[in-house]
Amino acid sequence: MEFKLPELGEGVSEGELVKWAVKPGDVVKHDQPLCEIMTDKATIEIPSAFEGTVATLHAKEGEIVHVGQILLKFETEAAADQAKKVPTHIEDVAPSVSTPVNQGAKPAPAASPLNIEEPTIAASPATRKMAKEAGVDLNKISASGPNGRVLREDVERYISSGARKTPAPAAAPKVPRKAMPAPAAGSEQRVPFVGLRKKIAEKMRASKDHAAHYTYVEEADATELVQLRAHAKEIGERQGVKVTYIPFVMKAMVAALKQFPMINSSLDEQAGQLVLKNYYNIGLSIQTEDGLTAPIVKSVEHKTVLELAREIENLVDRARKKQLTLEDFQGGTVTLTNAGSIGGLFATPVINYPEVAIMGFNKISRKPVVKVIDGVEKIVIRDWTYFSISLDHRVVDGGIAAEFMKIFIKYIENPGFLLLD
Amino acid sequence: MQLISLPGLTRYSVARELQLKLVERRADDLIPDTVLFLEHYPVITQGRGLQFNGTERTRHMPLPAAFPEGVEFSETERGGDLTYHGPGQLVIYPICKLDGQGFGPARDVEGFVRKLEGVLIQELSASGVHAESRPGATGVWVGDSTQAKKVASVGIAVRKWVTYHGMAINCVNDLSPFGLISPCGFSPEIMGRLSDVLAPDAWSKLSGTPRISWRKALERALARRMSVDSVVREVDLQDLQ
Repeated sequence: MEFKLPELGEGVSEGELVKWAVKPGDVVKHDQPLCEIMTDKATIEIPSAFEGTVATLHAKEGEIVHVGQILLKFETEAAADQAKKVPTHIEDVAPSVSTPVNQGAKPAPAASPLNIEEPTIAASPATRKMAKEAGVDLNKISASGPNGRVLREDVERYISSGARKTPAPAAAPKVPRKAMPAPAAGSEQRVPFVGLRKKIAEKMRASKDHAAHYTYVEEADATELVQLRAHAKEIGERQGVKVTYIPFVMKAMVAALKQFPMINSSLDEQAGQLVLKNYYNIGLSIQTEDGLTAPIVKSVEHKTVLELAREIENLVDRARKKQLTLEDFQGGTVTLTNAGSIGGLFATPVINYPEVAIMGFNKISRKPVVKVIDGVEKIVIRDWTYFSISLDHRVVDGGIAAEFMKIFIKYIENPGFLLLD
Repeated sequence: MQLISLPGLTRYSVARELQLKLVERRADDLIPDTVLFLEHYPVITQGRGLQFNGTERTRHMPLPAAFPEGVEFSETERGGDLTYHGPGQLVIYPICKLDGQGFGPARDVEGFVRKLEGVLIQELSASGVHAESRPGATGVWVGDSTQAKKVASVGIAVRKWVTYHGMAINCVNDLSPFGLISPCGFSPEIMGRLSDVLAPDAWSKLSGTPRISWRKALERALARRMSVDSVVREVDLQDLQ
C-alpha cells in the first residue's frame, strides 16, 4: 500500500521534506507523525492515515515532494494477504486508469479475476456512490481512513477544495516537475554535490550517526615547543625539509596514547569488540581545493621528527596535487587536525569514524599569563594554545579524556620529555 | 473560538510548551479552537528556514555573532527563518483545527495563513490604512511598493492538522533588534510598526501606557474578527505544562 503526500491547501503543490519521523520496519499507528513537510510559511507534520508497517521510504530528507507523490509504502496484515492474490498495479494506477471511477457501487472483491485491472481503493459503498455522483475519481483523493481507506469526509473535502475542477485527463502523462522553482536569474547557482565533497559528507554523517561525540579542550603553554621548533626549522631548512609543529604534536600524541590504549582504538560494533591498536598511524587533516582529506602518517612511534616532517611535506604536496592513493588512507588509528592555521580559538572536530578520537591543534598566540617565578606571581608573555580533542563517549569517558589530555599537555609543554620515552 | 490572553511578557519556551499542550488537546477535541494573545520577552527565533521573500528563496540566514544581553535565542519548528519578538509586539498563536468547521479551512494551510493575515488586513482597512499580503512573501505589508513596510510576520506549524505558531504584529515595539538579523531574508529596514502608520490616537484611546493600550485595543479588535466567543480568564501555566 502507498501513502501519498496529501493536499496541503489550494495553491500548495509541493513542499520540502524536512525530516522523516519513521523508518522502514516501523510499526505505525493511525495519526502518528510520518514526516515533516515545509512550505514557504509553514511546517506541517504529516500524520499517518493508516496502520501498518513501513516498508520503504520513497523520498529523501531535503527533497521537494509534490502533492500526490508517493512518500512511502507500507504493509498491513490485510494487504499482505491480498498481495498474494492480486497482481498489484498500484504503481501506475493514477496515470493509466481509463475509467475515472471504480466501477459499481459494491466494493471490488480483491481476488475477483474480473477486477484485476482495476485499482483496489478501499472505500465504503456509500462513499463510492457519493464519489461517482460527484464525478470524482477515488484514486485522486488522499485517504485519511485506516489502511488508506477513502472516507466520506475525504470526498467532501476533495469536492469543496475545488480540486476536481482542475482538468486531469485520465491518461495524461505525468508532467515532469522541476526540483525547485526557478530562482531569479543569477540569484543562486546549482552545482553538483559530488566527488570528494560528497565523500566527506557521507563520512561525516556516518561519524555523527555512530559515535557519541563530545569535545574536551585544554590549554597549553607552548613557549618551549615554539623555541624547539624554531631550532628544528633551521636544521630542517639545511636538509631541505620544512618542519612544522605537526611532527612534535604527533610525537606527544603517541607518548600519551601509549598510556591510554583505548583512545588509540576502534569499536567493532558487529563483533562487539573494542580493537586496541599497538601501532600509531595518525591521520592528518589536509585542506585541499576540493575539500578536506586525511591521509595517514604510519608508524609515528618509529620515526624521528625530521622523518615525520619529510613525510608530512610529501603527503601535503601529493594531497594538493590530487595524487594520494588508496594506500595513503588505510590503517589510521587516530587523527590530528590542524584547525589553527587560519584562526579561531579552538574547533570541535568530527571524529574520523570508526576511530574514537581526533585531536584538534589550534592557533598558537602570544598571551599574558600569570606565572609563579621565585615564589612571586608575575604576568609574563607566553606562547599559548588550546588543544581540543573530540572523542566517542561510547568508548572513552570524560574523566579518561581529562587524564589523557593532562599527560599529552605535559609533553607539549615539556617537549624534552619526549626524549625520555 | 476561545481566547487566552497572557498578561505581561511570556518567555518563548513557555509559550511553545503551552502551544504544544493545547495542540494535543485540540487534536483530541478536548478544547475548542483557541487563540493565544501574548507578548514575548526579547527573543530571536529561527524557524525551519525556507522562506521566499519575493525574489529569492532563502534559508538559514546567518545568525548574529553575538546577542545583546537580555535577548534570547530559540530554534523553533514554525515555517520561515529568523525573526525577533519583544515587548510591544502582539503575538497571536491560533490553535485551530484545519477541519473546515471553525476558523481553519479544511486541510488548507495556505488558506489558513491568508485568513490569519486577512484578520489584520481587514482591521487596518477599517482604520483607513491599506494593508496587504503579498504573493510569495508572507506577512502583512503597508505602504506603496517603493516604501513597503512589513508590520506583521507570519510563520506557522501544523501537527495532527492543528495549527500553532502564528503571527507577530509590530505595534509599538522597538524595531532596532531586527537590525541584528535579516528577518526572514529581508533587509531589517523593511520592518515597520503600526504606531508609525496609524494616527497616534487611532487605537490608543484607552488608559495606560501606549504598550498596554495598544495591546488592549488590538486584541479587542482582532478577537472580534476571529469570532472569539469565550475568554479563558485564568490560565494555570503549571497545569498546562
